[in-house]
Amino acid sequence: MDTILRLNGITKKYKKATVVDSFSLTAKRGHICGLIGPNGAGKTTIMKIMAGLTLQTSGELEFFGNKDNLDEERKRMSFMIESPVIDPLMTARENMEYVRIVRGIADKSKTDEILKLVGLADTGKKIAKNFSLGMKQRLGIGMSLITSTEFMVLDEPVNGLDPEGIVEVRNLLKKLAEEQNVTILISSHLLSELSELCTDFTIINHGKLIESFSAEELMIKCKSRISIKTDDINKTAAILEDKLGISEYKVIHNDEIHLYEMLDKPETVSRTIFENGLNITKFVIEGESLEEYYLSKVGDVNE
Amino acid sequence: MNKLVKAEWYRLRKSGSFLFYTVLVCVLCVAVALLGNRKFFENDLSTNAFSVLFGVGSFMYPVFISTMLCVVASMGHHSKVAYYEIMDGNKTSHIILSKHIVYLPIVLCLFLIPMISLFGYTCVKNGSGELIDKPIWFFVLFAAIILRIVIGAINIAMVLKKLVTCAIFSYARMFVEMLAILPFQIIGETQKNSDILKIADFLKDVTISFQIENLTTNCNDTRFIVMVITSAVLEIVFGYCMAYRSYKKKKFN
Repeated sequence: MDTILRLNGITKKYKKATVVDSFSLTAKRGHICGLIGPNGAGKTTIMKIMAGLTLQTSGELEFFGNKDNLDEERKRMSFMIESPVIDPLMTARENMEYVRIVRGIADKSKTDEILKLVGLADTGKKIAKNFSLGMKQRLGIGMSLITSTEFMVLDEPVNGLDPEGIVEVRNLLKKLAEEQNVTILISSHLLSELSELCTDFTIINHGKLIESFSAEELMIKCKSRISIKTDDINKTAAILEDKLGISEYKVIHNDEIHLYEMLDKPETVSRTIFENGLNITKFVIEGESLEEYYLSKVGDVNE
Repeated sequence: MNKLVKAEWYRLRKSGSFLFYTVLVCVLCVAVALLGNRKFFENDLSTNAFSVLFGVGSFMYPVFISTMLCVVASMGHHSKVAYYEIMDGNKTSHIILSKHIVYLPIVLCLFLIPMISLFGYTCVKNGSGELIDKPIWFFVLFAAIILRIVIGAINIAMVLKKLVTCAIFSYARMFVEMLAILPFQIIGETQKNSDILKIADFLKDVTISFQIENLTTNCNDTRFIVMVITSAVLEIVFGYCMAYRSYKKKKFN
Protein backbone atom coordinates (compact mmCIF):
# COMPACT_ATOMS: atom_id res chain seq x y z
CA MET A 1 0.00 0.00 0.00
CA ASP A 2 1.41 3.32 -1.10
CA THR A 3 -0.76 5.93 0.59
CA ILE A 4 -0.28 5.85 4.35
CA LEU A 5 -2.29 8.90 5.27
CA ARG A 6 -5.34 10.53 3.76
CA LEU A 7 -7.06 13.51 5.35
CA ASN A 8 -10.21 14.58 3.51
CA GLY A 9 -11.90 17.87 4.28
CA ILE A 10 -10.91 17.94 7.94
CA THR A 11 -12.63 20.76 9.82
CA LYS A 12 -12.32 21.58 13.49
CA LYS A 13 -14.43 24.21 15.19
CA TYR A 14 -14.28 25.41 18.78
CA LYS A 15 -17.56 27.22 19.52
CA LYS A 16 -17.39 30.12 17.02
CA ALA A 17 -13.76 29.73 15.93
CA THR A 18 -12.86 27.53 12.96
CA VAL A 19 -9.35 26.33 13.64
CA VAL A 20 -9.06 23.92 10.72
CA ASP A 21 -11.14 24.47 7.60
CA SER A 22 -11.62 21.69 5.04
CA PHE A 23 -8.01 20.60 5.18
CA SER A 24 -6.86 17.71 3.01
CA LEU A 25 -3.52 15.95 2.88
CA THR A 26 -2.05 12.70 1.65
CA ALA A 27 1.25 11.09 2.54
CA LYS A 28 2.88 8.21 0.74
CA ARG A 29 5.01 5.49 2.25
CA GLY A 30 8.63 6.44 2.82
CA HIS A 31 8.03 10.14 2.22
CA ILE A 32 8.90 12.94 4.61
CA CYS A 33 6.12 15.51 4.52
CA GLY A 34 6.68 19.00 5.84
CA LEU A 35 3.70 20.86 7.28
CA ILE A 36 4.45 24.59 7.21
CA GLY A 37 2.43 27.42 8.63
CA PRO A 38 2.60 30.37 11.00
CA ASN A 39 1.71 30.10 14.69
CA GLY A 40 -1.98 29.36 15.09
CA ALA A 41 -2.33 28.02 11.54
CA GLY A 42 -3.78 24.73 12.76
CA LYS A 43 -0.78 22.39 12.39
CA THR A 44 -0.86 21.10 15.96
CA THR A 45 -4.65 20.71 15.88
CA ILE A 46 -4.39 18.56 12.77
CA MET A 47 -1.75 16.42 14.45
CA LYS A 48 -3.88 16.08 17.58
CA ILE A 49 -6.78 14.91 15.44
CA MET A 50 -4.51 12.33 13.86
CA ALA A 51 -3.30 11.20 17.30
CA GLY A 52 -6.86 10.79 18.58
CA LEU A 53 -6.49 13.49 21.21
CA THR A 54 -9.29 15.53 19.73
CA LEU A 55 -12.12 14.81 17.31
CA GLN A 56 -12.63 16.60 14.04
CA THR A 57 -15.92 18.47 13.56
CA SER A 58 -16.22 17.03 10.07
CA GLY A 59 -14.11 15.27 7.48
CA GLU A 60 -12.48 11.89 7.18
CA LEU A 61 -9.23 10.35 8.25
CA GLU A 62 -7.70 7.29 6.70
CA PHE A 63 -4.61 5.52 7.99
CA PHE A 64 -3.06 2.73 5.92
CA GLY A 65 -6.23 2.58 3.81
CA ASN A 66 -8.44 2.04 6.86
CA LYS A 67 -11.18 4.55 7.68
CA ASP A 68 -13.14 2.48 10.15
CA ASN A 69 -10.73 1.36 12.83
CA LEU A 70 -8.32 4.23 13.29
CA ASP A 71 -7.38 3.20 16.83
CA GLU A 72 -6.08 -0.11 15.53
CA GLU A 73 -3.93 1.66 12.92
CA ARG A 74 -2.58 4.10 15.54
CA LYS A 75 -0.65 1.17 16.99
CA ARG A 76 1.51 1.41 13.85
CA MET A 77 2.15 5.10 14.38
CA SER A 78 4.00 7.25 16.86
CA PHE A 79 3.41 10.84 17.80
CA MET A 80 5.22 13.77 19.33
CA ILE A 81 2.66 16.54 19.58
CA GLU A 82 3.39 20.04 20.83
CA SER A 83 5.86 19.73 23.69
CA PRO A 84 7.38 16.33 24.53
CA VAL A 85 5.05 14.34 26.77
CA ILE A 86 7.20 13.27 29.70
CA ASP A 87 6.61 12.70 33.39
CA PRO A 88 8.69 15.35 35.15
CA LEU A 89 9.19 13.20 38.25
CA MET A 90 10.72 10.27 36.38
CA THR A 91 14.20 9.91 34.91
CA ALA A 92 14.88 9.58 31.18
CA ARG A 93 15.16 5.83 31.54
CA GLU A 94 11.93 5.56 33.51
CA ASN A 95 10.03 7.67 31.00
CA MET A 96 11.33 5.55 28.14
CA GLU A 97 10.56 2.36 30.04
CA TYR A 98 7.02 3.59 30.71
CA VAL A 99 6.38 4.13 27.01
CA ARG A 100 7.93 0.75 26.23
CA ILE A 101 5.44 -0.91 28.59
CA VAL A 102 2.45 1.11 27.31
CA ARG A 103 3.25 0.14 23.75
CA GLY A 104 3.66 -3.50 24.72
CA ILE A 105 7.27 -3.85 23.55
CA ALA A 106 8.75 -6.98 25.11
CA ASP A 107 12.38 -6.25 24.32
CA LYS A 108 13.80 -4.44 27.38
CA SER A 109 17.08 -3.63 25.64
CA LYS A 110 15.20 -1.19 23.41
CA THR A 111 15.14 1.35 26.23
CA ASP A 112 18.90 1.60 26.51
CA GLU A 113 19.30 1.41 22.74
CA ILE A 114 17.06 4.42 22.13
CA LEU A 115 18.51 6.40 25.04
CA LYS A 116 21.94 5.94 23.51
CA LEU A 117 20.63 6.94 20.09
CA VAL A 118 19.25 10.24 21.38
CA GLY A 119 22.25 10.94 23.62
CA LEU A 120 20.55 10.53 27.00
CA ALA A 121 22.18 7.34 28.19
CA ASP A 122 24.25 9.18 30.83
CA THR A 123 21.52 11.17 32.57
CA GLY A 124 21.42 8.70 35.47
CA LYS A 125 19.00 9.63 38.26
CA LYS A 126 18.33 13.14 37.04
CA ILE A 127 14.58 13.62 36.79
CA ALA A 128 13.05 15.08 33.66
CA LYS A 129 11.89 18.20 35.51
CA ASN A 130 15.54 19.29 35.63
CA PHE A 131 16.28 18.64 31.97
CA SER A 132 17.08 21.43 29.55
CA LEU A 133 14.69 22.07 26.66
CA GLY A 134 17.01 20.24 24.29
CA MET A 135 17.20 17.20 26.55
CA LYS A 136 13.41 17.09 26.88
CA GLN A 137 13.13 17.33 23.12
CA ARG A 138 15.57 14.45 22.67
CA LEU A 139 13.66 12.37 25.17
CA GLY A 140 10.40 13.10 23.37
CA ILE A 141 11.91 12.05 20.05
CA GLY A 142 13.31 8.92 21.65
CA MET A 143 9.93 8.02 23.13
CA SER A 144 8.39 8.23 19.67
CA LEU A 145 11.18 6.07 18.24
CA ILE A 146 10.98 3.23 20.72
CA THR A 147 8.41 1.35 18.67
CA SER A 148 9.09 0.02 15.22
CA THR A 149 6.74 2.53 13.81
CA GLU A 150 5.63 2.86 10.18
CA PHE A 151 4.43 6.44 10.44
CA MET A 152 5.81 9.19 12.68
CA VAL A 153 4.05 12.46 13.35
CA LEU A 154 6.45 15.03 14.80
CA ASP A 155 5.44 18.52 15.85
CA GLU A 156 8.51 20.77 15.81
CA PRO A 157 10.94 18.04 16.86
CA VAL A 158 14.07 20.20 16.53
CA ASN A 159 12.73 23.01 18.69
CA GLY A 160 15.35 23.86 21.32
CA LEU A 161 18.07 21.64 19.91
CA ASP A 162 21.59 22.90 19.32
CA PRO A 163 22.95 22.85 15.73
CA GLU A 164 24.60 19.47 16.26
CA GLY A 165 21.34 18.08 17.61
CA ILE A 166 19.41 19.42 14.63
CA VAL A 167 21.79 17.73 12.22
CA GLU A 168 21.58 14.47 14.18
CA VAL A 169 17.78 14.47 14.12
CA ARG A 170 17.76 15.33 10.43
CA ASN A 171 20.12 12.47 9.61
CA LEU A 172 18.18 10.08 11.81
CA LEU A 173 14.85 10.90 10.17
CA LYS A 174 16.36 10.63 6.69
CA LYS A 175 17.80 7.26 7.59
CA LEU A 176 14.45 6.01 8.90
CA ALA A 177 12.70 7.10 5.71
CA GLU A 178 15.32 5.73 3.34
CA GLU A 179 16.29 2.48 5.07
CA GLN A 180 13.12 1.49 6.89
CA ASN A 181 10.57 3.15 4.62
CA VAL A 182 9.10 5.05 7.57
CA THR A 183 6.70 7.82 6.58
CA ILE A 184 7.17 11.04 8.51
CA LEU A 185 4.92 14.06 8.89
CA ILE A 186 6.88 16.89 10.43
CA SER A 187 6.13 20.48 11.25
CA SER A 188 8.81 23.04 11.93
CA HIS A 189 9.50 26.74 11.80
CA LEU A 190 13.03 26.04 10.58
CA LEU A 191 12.22 26.09 6.87
CA SER A 192 15.86 25.70 5.93
CA GLU A 193 15.84 22.39 7.79
CA LEU A 194 12.62 21.26 6.16
CA SER A 195 13.91 22.12 2.71
CA GLU A 196 16.91 19.82 3.38
CA LEU A 197 14.78 17.02 4.76
CA CYS A 198 11.35 16.83 3.18
CA THR A 199 10.17 15.20 0.00
CA ASP A 200 6.79 16.94 0.12
CA PHE A 201 5.52 20.22 1.51
CA THR A 202 2.13 21.49 2.59
CA ILE A 203 1.49 25.11 3.47
CA ILE A 204 -1.36 25.87 5.86
CA ASN A 205 -2.63 29.23 7.08
CA HIS A 206 -5.71 30.13 9.16
CA GLY A 207 -6.63 26.45 9.13
CA LYS A 208 -6.82 26.28 5.36
CA LEU A 209 -4.69 24.42 2.90
CA ILE A 210 -2.75 26.96 0.86
CA GLU A 211 -0.70 24.67 -1.32
CA SER A 212 0.81 21.19 -1.48
CA PHE A 213 3.81 20.35 -3.64
CA SER A 214 6.74 18.01 -3.88
CA ALA A 215 10.41 18.95 -3.53
CA GLU A 216 10.79 18.74 -7.33
CA GLU A 217 7.85 21.06 -7.87
CA LEU A 218 9.31 23.45 -5.32
CA MET A 219 12.49 23.73 -7.35
CA ILE A 220 10.44 24.74 -10.36
CA LYS A 221 8.27 27.13 -8.35
CA CYS A 222 11.22 28.84 -6.65
CA LYS A 223 12.23 30.48 -9.82
CA SER A 224 15.50 32.20 -10.44
CA ARG A 225 15.78 35.96 -10.55
CA ILE A 226 18.26 38.78 -10.94
CA SER A 227 18.61 40.78 -7.71
CA ILE A 228 19.63 44.38 -8.45
CA LYS A 229 20.54 47.26 -6.14
CA THR A 230 21.36 50.72 -7.43
CA ASP A 231 21.60 54.23 -6.02
CA ASP A 232 18.05 55.00 -7.27
CA ILE A 233 15.69 52.04 -7.32
CA ASN A 234 12.63 53.91 -8.57
CA LYS A 235 14.53 55.31 -11.53
CA THR A 236 15.93 51.82 -12.20
CA ALA A 237 12.42 50.38 -12.30
CA ALA A 238 11.30 53.11 -14.70
CA ILE A 239 14.31 52.47 -16.96
CA LEU A 240 13.68 48.71 -17.03
CA GLU A 241 10.06 49.28 -18.02
CA ASP A 242 10.75 52.02 -20.49
CA LYS A 243 13.93 50.83 -22.22
CA LEU A 244 13.59 47.04 -22.01
CA GLY A 245 9.81 46.61 -21.73
CA ILE A 246 10.18 44.55 -18.55
CA SER A 247 7.04 44.03 -16.47
CA GLU A 248 7.81 40.95 -14.39
CA TYR A 249 9.69 42.36 -11.45
CA LYS A 250 9.22 43.23 -7.76
CA VAL A 251 10.60 46.10 -5.73
CA ILE A 252 11.67 44.79 -2.31
CA HIS A 253 11.79 47.14 0.68
CA ASN A 254 12.30 50.07 -1.67
CA ASP A 255 15.98 49.28 -2.15
CA GLU A 256 16.18 46.15 -4.29
CA ILE A 257 14.61 44.91 -7.50
CA HIS A 258 13.94 41.21 -8.17
CA LEU A 259 13.78 40.74 -11.90
CA TYR A 260 12.16 37.62 -13.36
CA GLU A 261 12.67 38.35 -17.06
CA MET A 262 15.71 38.44 -19.31
CA LEU A 263 17.53 35.96 -17.06
CA ASP A 264 19.45 34.78 -20.12
CA LYS A 265 20.61 38.34 -20.94
CA PRO A 266 21.95 39.81 -17.70
CA GLU A 267 24.59 41.84 -19.56
CA THR A 268 21.84 43.71 -21.46
CA VAL A 269 20.11 44.61 -18.22
CA SER A 270 23.27 45.80 -16.47
CA ARG A 271 24.44 47.81 -19.49
CA THR A 272 21.05 49.54 -19.82
CA ILE A 273 21.06 50.55 -16.15
CA PHE A 274 24.65 51.78 -16.31
CA GLU A 275 24.13 53.73 -19.55
CA ASN A 276 21.28 55.64 -17.90
CA GLY A 277 23.61 57.10 -15.28
CA LEU A 278 22.89 54.74 -12.37
CA ASN A 279 25.50 53.00 -10.22
CA ILE A 280 24.88 49.29 -9.65
CA THR A 281 25.75 48.17 -6.09
CA LYS A 282 24.37 44.60 -6.39
CA PHE A 283 23.75 42.40 -9.42
CA VAL A 284 23.23 38.69 -8.61
CA ILE A 285 21.44 35.81 -10.30
CA GLU A 286 19.83 33.68 -7.50
CA GLY A 287 16.87 31.33 -6.73
CA GLU A 288 14.01 31.74 -4.23
CA SER A 289 14.28 29.73 -1.03
CA LEU A 290 11.47 27.71 0.56
CA GLU A 291 11.26 30.44 3.17
CA GLU A 292 10.77 33.15 0.58
CA TYR A 293 8.25 31.05 -1.33
CA TYR A 294 6.35 30.30 1.87
CA LEU A 295 6.34 33.98 2.89
CA SER A 296 5.11 34.98 -0.55
CA LYS A 297 2.25 32.49 -0.23
CA VAL A 298 1.28 33.33 3.32
CA GLY A 299 1.73 37.03 2.68
CA ASP A 300 -0.53 36.85 -0.40
CA VAL A 301 -3.32 35.23 1.59
CA ASN A 302 -2.91 37.63 4.50
CA GLU A 303 -3.33 40.52 2.07
CA MET B 1 -5.24 -4.28 28.97
CA ASN B 2 -2.42 -6.13 30.70
CA LYS B 3 0.16 -3.68 29.36
CA LEU B 4 -1.95 -0.72 30.53
CA VAL B 5 -2.15 -2.15 34.05
CA LYS B 6 1.61 -2.75 34.09
CA ALA B 7 2.31 0.74 32.75
CA GLU B 8 0.08 2.46 35.31
CA TRP B 9 1.62 0.46 38.15
CA TYR B 10 5.10 1.30 36.84
CA ARG B 11 4.26 4.99 36.69
CA LEU B 12 2.86 4.93 40.23
CA ARG B 13 5.97 3.28 41.61
CA LYS B 14 8.44 5.51 39.84
CA SER B 15 6.68 8.83 40.08
CA GLY B 16 7.60 10.20 43.50
CA SER B 17 4.21 11.70 44.24
CA PHE B 18 2.54 8.37 44.97
CA LEU B 19 4.80 7.53 47.88
CA PHE B 20 4.34 10.99 49.33
CA TYR B 21 0.55 10.82 49.17
CA THR B 22 0.45 7.27 50.50
CA VAL B 23 2.43 8.19 53.59
CA LEU B 24 0.40 11.38 54.01
CA VAL B 25 -2.89 9.52 53.91
CA CYS B 26 -1.74 6.86 56.37
CA VAL B 27 -0.56 9.54 58.80
CA LEU B 28 -3.81 11.48 58.45
CA CYS B 29 -5.94 8.36 58.95
CA VAL B 30 -4.11 7.43 62.12
CA ALA B 31 -4.22 11.03 63.38
CA VAL B 32 -7.96 11.26 62.83
CA ALA B 33 -8.55 7.92 64.56
CA LEU B 34 -6.48 9.04 67.53
CA LEU B 35 -8.18 12.42 67.78
CA GLY B 36 -11.73 11.27 67.07
CA ASN B 37 -11.89 7.93 68.84
CA ARG B 38 -10.37 8.37 72.25
CA LYS B 39 -12.56 5.57 73.62
CA PHE B 40 -10.01 3.23 72.08
CA PHE B 41 -7.60 4.24 74.75
CA GLU B 42 -9.98 4.15 77.71
CA ASN B 43 -9.93 0.96 79.66
CA ASP B 44 -13.60 0.16 79.08
CA LEU B 45 -14.36 -3.49 78.35
CA SER B 46 -17.92 -2.81 77.36
CA THR B 47 -16.83 -0.77 74.40
CA ASN B 48 -17.95 -2.18 71.09
CA ALA B 49 -14.66 -1.93 69.27
CA PHE B 50 -16.21 -2.26 65.85
CA SER B 51 -18.77 0.47 66.36
CA VAL B 52 -16.25 2.88 67.72
CA LEU B 53 -13.88 2.10 64.90
CA PHE B 54 -16.51 3.00 62.39
CA GLY B 55 -17.70 6.03 64.26
CA VAL B 56 -17.97 9.54 62.96
CA GLY B 57 -14.18 9.98 62.93
CA SER B 58 -13.81 7.27 60.34
CA PHE B 59 -15.77 9.38 57.88
CA MET B 60 -12.49 11.18 57.23
CA TYR B 61 -10.86 8.01 55.91
CA PRO B 62 -12.86 7.96 52.68
CA VAL B 63 -12.31 11.70 52.28
CA PHE B 64 -8.54 11.38 52.50
CA ILE B 65 -8.35 8.17 50.50
CA SER B 66 -10.57 9.40 47.67
CA THR B 67 -8.82 12.77 47.50
CA MET B 68 -5.44 11.10 47.36
CA LEU B 69 -6.60 8.68 44.69
CA CYS B 70 -8.15 11.42 42.64
CA VAL B 71 -4.99 13.49 42.76
CA VAL B 72 -2.65 10.60 41.93
CA ALA B 73 -4.89 9.32 39.13
CA SER B 74 -5.18 12.79 37.62
CA MET B 75 -1.42 13.29 37.63
CA GLY B 76 -1.21 11.20 34.52
CA HIS B 77 -3.33 13.82 32.79
CA HIS B 78 -1.52 16.69 34.47
CA SER B 79 1.80 15.59 32.98
CA LYS B 80 -0.05 14.36 29.85
CA VAL B 81 1.70 11.03 30.11
CA ALA B 82 -1.77 9.44 30.03
CA TYR B 83 -1.97 10.55 26.40
CA TYR B 84 0.32 7.70 25.36
CA GLU B 85 -2.47 5.28 26.21
CA ILE B 86 -4.80 7.14 23.86
CA MET B 87 -2.27 7.70 21.08
CA ASP B 88 -1.46 3.98 21.14
CA GLY B 89 -5.03 3.30 20.06
CA ASN B 90 -6.15 1.49 23.22
CA LYS B 91 -9.83 0.95 23.80
CA THR B 92 -11.45 3.46 26.14
CA SER B 93 -12.91 0.71 28.30
CA HIS B 94 -9.46 -0.86 28.72
CA ILE B 95 -7.91 2.46 29.72
CA ILE B 96 -10.53 3.08 32.40
CA LEU B 97 -10.63 -0.48 33.74
CA SER B 98 -6.84 -0.69 33.96
CA LYS B 99 -6.87 2.22 36.40
CA HIS B 100 -9.53 0.54 38.52
CA ILE B 101 -7.55 -2.68 38.60
CA VAL B 102 -4.36 -0.93 39.70
CA TYR B 103 -5.78 1.30 42.40
CA LEU B 104 -8.30 -1.01 44.06
CA PRO B 105 -5.84 -3.40 45.77
CA ILE B 106 -3.61 -0.49 46.77
CA VAL B 107 -6.44 1.32 48.48
CA LEU B 108 -7.74 -1.80 50.17
CA CYS B 109 -4.33 -2.16 51.80
CA LEU B 110 -4.10 1.55 52.63
CA PHE B 111 -7.59 1.62 54.08
CA LEU B 112 -7.36 -1.63 55.98
CA ILE B 113 -3.87 -1.43 57.45
CA PRO B 114 -4.42 1.58 59.76
CA MET B 115 -7.87 0.36 60.72
CA ILE B 116 -6.85 -3.23 61.42
CA SER B 117 -3.78 -2.01 63.31
CA LEU B 118 -5.83 0.24 65.54
CA PHE B 119 -8.51 -2.37 65.96
CA GLY B 120 -5.90 -4.96 66.86
CA TYR B 121 -4.34 -2.60 69.38
CA THR B 122 -7.66 -1.85 71.06
CA CYS B 123 -8.63 -5.52 71.14
CA VAL B 124 -5.42 -6.30 72.94
CA LYS B 125 -5.88 -3.37 75.31
CA ASN B 126 -9.61 -3.38 75.94
CA GLY B 127 -10.92 -6.66 74.61
CA SER B 128 -12.97 -7.03 71.43
CA GLY B 129 -16.26 -5.90 72.99
CA GLU B 130 -19.43 -7.17 71.36
CA LEU B 131 -18.89 -8.87 68.08
CA ILE B 132 -21.36 -8.31 65.29
CA ASP B 133 -23.91 -10.98 64.39
CA LYS B 134 -23.47 -12.31 60.86
CA PRO B 135 -20.14 -10.61 60.22
CA ILE B 136 -20.24 -11.71 56.57
CA TRP B 137 -22.69 -8.91 55.68
CA PHE B 138 -20.52 -6.43 57.51
CA PHE B 139 -17.57 -7.27 55.29
CA VAL B 140 -19.66 -7.43 52.10
CA LEU B 141 -21.05 -3.96 52.75
CA PHE B 142 -17.64 -2.67 53.75
CA ALA B 143 -16.24 -3.98 50.45
CA ALA B 144 -19.09 -2.35 48.53
CA ILE B 145 -18.41 1.01 50.17
CA ILE B 146 -14.67 0.75 49.48
CA LEU B 147 -15.34 -0.14 45.85
CA ARG B 148 -17.65 2.82 45.56
CA ILE B 149 -15.04 5.19 47.02
CA VAL B 150 -12.14 3.89 44.95
CA ILE B 151 -13.85 3.56 41.60
CA GLY B 152 -15.73 6.78 42.17
CA ALA B 153 -12.49 8.68 42.77
CA ILE B 154 -10.82 7.19 39.69
CA ASN B 155 -13.83 8.02 37.54
CA ILE B 156 -13.86 11.59 38.85
CA ALA B 157 -10.17 11.94 37.96
CA MET B 158 -10.82 10.67 34.45
CA VAL B 159 -13.73 13.05 33.91
CA LEU B 160 -12.20 16.18 35.41
CA LYS B 161 -8.55 15.48 34.46
CA LYS B 162 -7.24 18.63 36.17
CA LEU B 163 -5.22 17.95 39.32
CA VAL B 164 -6.44 20.85 41.48
CA THR B 165 -10.06 20.46 40.36
CA CYS B 166 -9.93 16.77 41.22
CA ALA B 167 -8.52 17.44 44.67
CA ILE B 168 -11.13 20.08 45.50
CA PHE B 169 -14.04 18.12 44.08
CA SER B 170 -13.12 14.89 45.78
CA TYR B 171 -12.46 16.53 49.14
CA ALA B 172 -15.59 18.65 49.07
CA ARG B 173 -17.89 15.95 47.81
CA MET B 174 -18.33 14.13 51.12
CA PHE B 175 -19.06 17.37 52.95
CA VAL B 176 -21.47 18.53 50.26
CA GLU B 177 -23.33 15.23 50.54
CA MET B 178 -23.83 15.81 54.24
CA LEU B 179 -24.80 19.44 53.72
CA ALA B 180 -27.33 18.47 51.08
CA ILE B 181 -29.20 16.42 53.64
CA LEU B 182 -29.37 19.22 56.21
CA PRO B 183 -32.13 21.33 54.62
CA PHE B 184 -34.43 18.33 54.38
CA GLN B 185 -33.63 17.34 57.95
CA ILE B 186 -34.20 20.82 59.30
CA ILE B 187 -37.37 21.51 57.33
CA GLY B 188 -38.77 18.07 58.09
CA GLU B 189 -38.19 18.43 61.82
CA THR B 190 -39.37 22.01 62.12
CA GLN B 191 -42.47 21.48 60.04
CA LYS B 192 -42.94 17.93 61.30
CA ASN B 193 -43.28 16.83 57.69
CA SER B 194 -42.77 13.10 57.53
CA ASP B 195 -42.45 13.06 53.75
CA ILE B 196 -39.52 15.47 53.84
CA LEU B 197 -37.98 13.50 56.68
CA LYS B 198 -38.29 10.37 54.55
CA ILE B 199 -36.34 12.16 51.82
CA ALA B 200 -33.68 13.06 54.37
CA ASP B 201 -33.52 9.44 55.57
CA PHE B 202 -33.28 8.18 52.00
CA LEU B 203 -30.42 10.59 51.26
CA LYS B 204 -28.66 9.43 54.40
CA ASP B 205 -29.01 5.85 53.30
CA VAL B 206 -27.23 6.56 50.02
CA THR B 207 -24.39 8.81 51.21
CA ILE B 208 -21.06 7.20 51.97
CA SER B 209 -20.42 8.98 55.26
CA PHE B 210 -23.71 7.88 56.84
CA GLN B 211 -23.37 4.40 55.45
CA ILE B 212 -19.99 4.02 57.16
CA GLU B 213 -21.30 5.47 60.40
CA ASN B 214 -24.27 3.06 60.46
CA LEU B 215 -22.36 0.05 59.16
CA THR B 216 -22.01 -1.77 62.44
CA THR B 217 -25.52 -1.11 63.75
CA ASN B 218 -27.43 -1.77 60.51
CA CYS B 219 -25.33 -4.36 58.72
CA ASN B 220 -28.03 -7.01 59.30
CA ASP B 221 -30.88 -4.75 58.17
CA THR B 222 -32.16 -5.88 54.76
CA ARG B 223 -33.12 -2.38 53.66
CA PHE B 224 -29.70 -1.04 54.62
CA ILE B 225 -27.95 -3.87 52.76
CA VAL B 226 -29.99 -3.19 49.62
CA MET B 227 -29.35 0.56 49.83
CA VAL B 228 -25.58 0.19 50.27
CA ILE B 229 -25.16 -2.30 47.45
CA THR B 230 -27.55 -0.51 45.08
CA SER B 231 -26.03 2.92 45.67
CA ALA B 232 -22.54 1.47 45.15
CA VAL B 233 -23.54 -0.24 41.89
CA LEU B 234 -25.35 2.84 40.60
CA GLU B 235 -22.50 5.21 41.41
CA ILE B 236 -19.91 2.88 39.88
CA VAL B 237 -21.93 2.46 36.69
CA PHE B 238 -22.76 6.17 36.44
CA GLY B 239 -19.15 7.18 37.09
CA TYR B 240 -17.85 4.68 34.53
CA CYS B 241 -20.30 5.97 31.91
CA MET B 242 -19.23 9.57 32.60
CA ALA B 243 -15.53 8.64 32.35
CA TYR B 244 -16.17 6.65 29.16
CA ARG B 245 -18.11 9.51 27.62
CA SER B 246 -15.43 12.01 28.62
CA TYR B 247 -12.71 9.93 26.97
CA LYS B 248 -14.79 9.33 23.86
CA LYS B 249 -15.31 13.06 23.39
CA LYS B 250 -11.51 13.33 23.14
CA LYS B 251 -10.97 16.74 24.60
CA PHE B 252 -7.33 16.30 25.57
CA ASN B 253 -5.45 19.58 25.37
